[in-house]
Amino acid sequence: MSEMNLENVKAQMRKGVLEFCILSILSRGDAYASDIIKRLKESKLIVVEGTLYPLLSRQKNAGLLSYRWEESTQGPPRKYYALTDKGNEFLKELNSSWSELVEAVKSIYNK
Amino acid sequence: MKKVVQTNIGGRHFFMDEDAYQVMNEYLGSLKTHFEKEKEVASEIIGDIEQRMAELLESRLTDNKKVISLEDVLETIKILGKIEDFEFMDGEGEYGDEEEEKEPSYSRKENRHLYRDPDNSYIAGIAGGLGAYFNVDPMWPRLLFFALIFANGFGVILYFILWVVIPKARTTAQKLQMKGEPVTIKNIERSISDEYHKVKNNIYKIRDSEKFRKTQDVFYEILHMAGLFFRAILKIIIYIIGIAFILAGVVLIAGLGIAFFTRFDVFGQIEWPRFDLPDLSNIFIDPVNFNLMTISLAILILVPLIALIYGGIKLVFNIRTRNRFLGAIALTAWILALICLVTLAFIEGENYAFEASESHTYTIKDNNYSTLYLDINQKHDFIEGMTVYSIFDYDIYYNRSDKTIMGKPELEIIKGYEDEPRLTIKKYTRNVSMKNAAGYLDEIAYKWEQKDSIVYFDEFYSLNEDEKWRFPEVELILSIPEDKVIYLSEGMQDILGEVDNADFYLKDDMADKRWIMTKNGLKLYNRQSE
Repeated sequence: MSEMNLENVKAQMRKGVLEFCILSILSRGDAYASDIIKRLKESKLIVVEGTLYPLLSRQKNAGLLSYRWEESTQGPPRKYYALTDKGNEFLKELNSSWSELVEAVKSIYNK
Repeated sequence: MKKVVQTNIGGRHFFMDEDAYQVMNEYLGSLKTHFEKEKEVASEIIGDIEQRMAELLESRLTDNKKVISLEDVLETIKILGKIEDFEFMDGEGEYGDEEEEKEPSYSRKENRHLYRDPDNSYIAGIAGGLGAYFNVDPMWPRLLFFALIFANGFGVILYFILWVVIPKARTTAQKLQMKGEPVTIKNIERSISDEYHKVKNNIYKIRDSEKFRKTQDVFYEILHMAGLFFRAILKIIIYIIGIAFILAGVVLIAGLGIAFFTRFDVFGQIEWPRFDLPDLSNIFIDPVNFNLMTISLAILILVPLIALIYGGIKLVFNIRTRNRFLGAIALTAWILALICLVTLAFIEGENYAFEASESHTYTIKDNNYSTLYLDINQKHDFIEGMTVYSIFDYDIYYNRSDKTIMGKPELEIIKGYEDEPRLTIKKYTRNVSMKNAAGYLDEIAYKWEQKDSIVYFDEFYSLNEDEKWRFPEVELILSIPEDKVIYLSEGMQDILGEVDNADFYLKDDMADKRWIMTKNGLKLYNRQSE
């Protein structure tokens, strides 16, 4: 759109794959929100944590994930997220289109 | 020594420095505003974030450190993300949705929102917000409010309504939105023409597309287009209705203000009766009840009018926040006022439930005067400074300066069978009980006196101090023996009733004449005929 600011473009790219990555993390096993955050932060996909929660909430409402309350040793019970069947399907679709995308970028970049 | 606040975040207990608590509250508040549009999931998102915040804050506490400091909160906010970070994510999200129907012009139009400006405020930042919205120096709205204070305090009411209706600009984004594009007639025109172009473009799109041949799709497109068109019209209508609401509310409040607070002549040119609220209260109603009634009536009238202005402002400026609490309070106040008014009216009505009367008869000394003169006592010029109210068949004379309530008696002249003339004074009244009514009769004062051959009647009876008007009536019955001559002075026509007379004169013609009592009632008397 307007100014082609590098940070902005990078942030947009990250944002595009963020939902994909959340589903991927959950496909390897159920997790607390703080676990997901930890993984995403390690991969430098998110800078601030708060923005994850609206995404989780939206994905949950879209039926891609579900959660249950788990007792915790310290403090009140926490949400434990899991991928639904629909989420699994969705992830498969995203996976294949991600591969296509990677291929496309590679082929253009290498030419 | 800092003040420590005890609070609960995400189900956990914390002790916080006061400044830390304030910053955290402000942060959570701005998140709430930001997620308001998510409706039902908003509280869930906030709850999740709050819980994470609690986790992060707790991780900063140690055995030696039990209180959350401002620094802890600021660090936590840095980790969770500032409100701008949330806005950034949202903005991209909407851009990513590749619905070409989403008009780019829409965002430009929605740019400017009316907020209260906390950075530019003396009281609540309303003038600052209005100034930003209309792109003028806040001094002008400020002056306008100030000037409207003198319009029966209307400026104050308006200011309070706006205070409640307009949200405060909490976040940077809101503060920027506050100063978006100016709302001018030109921009309104443009936004309408934007809608028009959108509709037109859609027509072209249909014409050019292959879908055109598929009736099903055309049908859908037409529906969609009609929807867009309808939305544009609806927007204009809502705008007009909103302005009409505001105008109606403002004009009605101003009009009622003038009616209540100024003495004015309802009937135009006629000198009386004047309608005047304080007078009416003094005449009829106990002052405490009257004040309660006035307050109830004011609430009864003002609440719907203020609601009208409130609704109008919300429509015109497209403010979506709902304040159920406020609505409930307003409705409760309105119902209470209604109950109060009805009860008071009933209580006041009770004051007229029972009727009582009494009569006293006095003998007028004859002393063999050839003619008995009947005249009005001119000692007091009562009519000066007097206001007359006509209610049912009663004329109430009210003196504003000393608050006396007066009325006119009615004189009847009948044939008497005694040797001397007699005057019977009959008083009537109503009151809350038989006993009160009887007691009230003593409060009606009427004077008359006889001097030689002249009987002076007061033109008015009056109620004793602090007595309210309870349908008082004074009837004077003068019985004149047969063959007795009386003279009615010119002033007597003021208190004379319709008196039966053998010449069928009306009361206005009977004054300033001599009359003789005959077998058949009064008859015009002139000496020549003797």
